[in-house]
Amino acid sequence: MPMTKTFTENDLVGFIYGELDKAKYHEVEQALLVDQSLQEKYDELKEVVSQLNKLKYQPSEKSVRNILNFSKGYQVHST
Amino acid sequence: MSNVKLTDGQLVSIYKNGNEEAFEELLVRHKDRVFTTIYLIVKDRYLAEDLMQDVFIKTIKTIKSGRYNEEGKFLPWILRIAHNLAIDQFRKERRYPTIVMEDGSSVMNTLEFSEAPIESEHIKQDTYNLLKQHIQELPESQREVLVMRHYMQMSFQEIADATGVSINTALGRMRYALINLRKKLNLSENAYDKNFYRK
Repeated sequence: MPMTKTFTENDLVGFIYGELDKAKYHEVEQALLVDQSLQEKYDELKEVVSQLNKLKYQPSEKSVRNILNFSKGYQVHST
Repeated sequence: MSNVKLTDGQLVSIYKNGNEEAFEELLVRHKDRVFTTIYLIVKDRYLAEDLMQDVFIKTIKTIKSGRYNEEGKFLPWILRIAHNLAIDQFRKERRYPTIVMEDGSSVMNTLEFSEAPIESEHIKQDTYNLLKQHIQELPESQREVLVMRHYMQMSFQEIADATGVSINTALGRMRYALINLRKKLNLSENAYDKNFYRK
């Protein structure tokens, strides 16, 4: 008898981000081994996630200098 | 600072005692993540630069005045400040009412932003720049989950609690965000190929 699939595509997202409980994680893991269409969806989502992990914006040097200068000049006066 | 990698908490304590290098280390460590969080929300580099300075100025004042709660973690704390300031500023500046559409996205996503053409001039045809551009085009609810999960390091349960939705909705928004980004990247790649191999 074939296994009944109890997870949703949202669970695939939880799997990618490592946020499923053990039982559900195992279920998705097993399904990925036998379901090619699911494996393709996983690969596509995983690729975007890995690109997002590398993406960052950098502030200007001027902003960084302004912050450091503010810190050096900021004194707390006790009353 | 010594070569030993100090924790954020240790750096905060040293900074509180007057060591400016400790603060510089904290700033270098976290400036990109704070800036990215802000920029992805306000979608304006100049505004993001200002807000990032506001975030760190608030941090400096809080730590130097002894009001920093050492039990909390530094990065989630500063990212929460960044997120709140960015959201406040985004709503204040735009003065658009938040009207939620049937699909859960905000009506703000249908509006063009004045800085977009200037930003477009600088967009190069590489994957990361395209990805940055496509993130800006996501519906607000999807972009919010993406920022919270990737840059604020919040779990989906924390995101669900913070945004007042179920964890399944938070996961669903992230899934749609990823699918949309994937589609947009594919479309961009195809458009680029057609351009490149034009007969």
